[in-house]
Amino acid sequence: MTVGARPDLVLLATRAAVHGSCAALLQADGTALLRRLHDHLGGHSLVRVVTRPGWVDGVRAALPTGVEVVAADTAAEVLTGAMTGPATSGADLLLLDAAVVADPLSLERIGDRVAAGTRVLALPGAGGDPLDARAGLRSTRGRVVAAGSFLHRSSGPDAWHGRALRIGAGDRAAAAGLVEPLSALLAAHGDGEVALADPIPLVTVALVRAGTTLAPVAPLPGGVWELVDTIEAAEDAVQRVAALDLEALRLSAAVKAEDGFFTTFLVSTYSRYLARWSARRGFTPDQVTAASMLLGVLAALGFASGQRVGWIAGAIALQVAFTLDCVDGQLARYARVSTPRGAWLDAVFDRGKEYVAYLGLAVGGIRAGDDQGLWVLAAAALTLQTVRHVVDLGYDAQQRADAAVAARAPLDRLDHDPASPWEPVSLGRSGAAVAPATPAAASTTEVADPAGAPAAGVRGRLRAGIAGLRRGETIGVVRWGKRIVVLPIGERFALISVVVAVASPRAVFLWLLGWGILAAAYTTLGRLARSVA
Amino acid sequence: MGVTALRGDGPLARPRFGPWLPVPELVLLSLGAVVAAIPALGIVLEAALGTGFTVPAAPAWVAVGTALALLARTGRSLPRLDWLAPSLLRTLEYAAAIALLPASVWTYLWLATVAYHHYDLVYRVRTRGTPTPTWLVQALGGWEGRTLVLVALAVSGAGESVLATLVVALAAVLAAETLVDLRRSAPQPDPTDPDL
Repeated sequence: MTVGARPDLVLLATRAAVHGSCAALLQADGTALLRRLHDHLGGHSLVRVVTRPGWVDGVRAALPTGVEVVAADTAAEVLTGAMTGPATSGADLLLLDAAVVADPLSLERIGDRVAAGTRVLALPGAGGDPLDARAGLRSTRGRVVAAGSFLHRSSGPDAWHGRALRIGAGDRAAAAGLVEPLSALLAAHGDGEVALADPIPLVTVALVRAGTTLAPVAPLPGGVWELVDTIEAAEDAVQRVAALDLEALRLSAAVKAEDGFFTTFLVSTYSRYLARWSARRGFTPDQVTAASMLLGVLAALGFASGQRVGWIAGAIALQVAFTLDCVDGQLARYARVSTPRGAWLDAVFDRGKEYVAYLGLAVGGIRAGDDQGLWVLAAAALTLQTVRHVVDLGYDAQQRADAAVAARAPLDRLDHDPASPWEPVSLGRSGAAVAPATPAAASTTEVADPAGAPAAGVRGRLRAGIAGLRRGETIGVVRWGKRIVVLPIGERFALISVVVAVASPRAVFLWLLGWGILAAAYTTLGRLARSVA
Repeated sequence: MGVTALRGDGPLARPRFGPWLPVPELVLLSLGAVVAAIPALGIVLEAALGTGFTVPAAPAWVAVGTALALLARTGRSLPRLDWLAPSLLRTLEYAAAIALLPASVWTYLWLATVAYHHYDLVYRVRTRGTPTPTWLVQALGGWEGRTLVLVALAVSGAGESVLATLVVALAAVLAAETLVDLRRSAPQPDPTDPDL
């Protein structure tokens, strides 16, 4: 397996600016937007630009010689030019609207080697689609399950299409096969200006509905990702990119967004600087993972000593091990050197450290005078934690499998009559779509999202309860409280360290079992309610 | 990845028959897990609080629980609750070890080794996109094979050395397969990349 090659790059320059010229040729800082993207993405073995016949000369002039320029008169020709033709062996294909202004780190997230796979740039945030309200995206568990285009409506969108679509090397052949049905669809519904200017959402819909696994990628938080159609907007966006403190944004983006309380506030606040330091010293994430595991083993040896001083030393070593455990992932994201193998090692060693610590605790407790029953407690603690993990992982696997089924739909099932005027939809604060208060729009939203329909009886009450809990999430205390209750890894490791330092290994196991049973009951019952509701 | 891959079924539990029984699979499986876990519950309560209980013929409880969980394969499926099955199977298998094996380091190591295999079932496909090979899952006996081995161990009154041998054998197979697989998937520099 290779680290992954850079994708073949296809820039689409078919969108018109407000005054009718090519939007990708708008100039900011004396450089055409198309050229900026080309240079920022750099190093591709194959670059092709698809544009309208009248704009070919302008596009050629804006780019270095050697870039292939394809003229297309209709949307079907754009699709053919973009998706078929020569391909670098083993390379992904990146389709990008060339009227996008984006910061280099956001571009990296979908355009570099590490980002290999089939992905779409999903713009989160409140407000209407910054473009034209026609290309929403809805994702479940890291998979796009519904996408919109000017012909298709995405039910309950939680993000807008950023007009960047990466097709993994393994999906390219299947994607090329979608050009024909898409062209047929366009022929039936008028191959108009919208399709010609904005074909990427159509390809996305076709991929999602064909059952392709498509992961949403967010732009860099705090970064810039914008589609522009006036010179003022272009200049403004380019200036905002220039004003970004990319180094600071890169570092804060390396920290996982959804993490436990202890990890977020007591570890990630400083571990990110360790991650940056490690990156500068040239350490790899795998080396940090290995160091963390080694410290975990040392902690277990301290616990196994059966002496108070060893327990305290072990408690400290375990905390350092946990910090390094956060550093490896942050380093991988910061330096963009994530590998599938590294992710596997990280996950397995996380579990390994914990269960080696239990082993050390049992040995140390017995050496300090406890009875053999401590092995039963160690075995029970391991069992409980393993079962808790598999409740999470099993539920997640099922949600993913359900999402894969839900995404499939015929391409020609249109949720919108192309002849009627479009009702814009905006994203709510929580990410759920909020329809404007016109009756026509309200009814289409209801049809599009049957899960939102009220149900009577027990199910209705269950749903209302779950919705109430979700509303509680917006209150900080409730949200963090819920995350602490489930005793995530940071809290668990802190509990082990504190209790063994001040009490005994037996006390550690009793705490882990007591709290773990409550946590297991809380999550399992919540998920059961969601499954049957 | 479907939930089925997380179950870790061995040669006996893998085939799914029927549905012959009108009872949902999950009901039988829950029943089996509870029956198999009752002896362990008594032992853990005793160790934790000093007020446990001892059931007579623990191997029989585990054997009956395992039989129920296998019989569940002929029941109706409840698709919305499929995700519960792997956790019930883990409960059954791990509780069987707590109930049938002596309170010792080898019991803990047996569980830790089995847990490694179970985590690998999930993490390998999720992080690397390649599932743990079926031959490995089968060769390790699956949850039902290992549980039945523990029953046999308890009934025959085999000593700790037999358990230790089993742990070492299990760990050796897992370690060898992991090393071969990691070597195969080691990242190689991309020769076409100008940066490297």
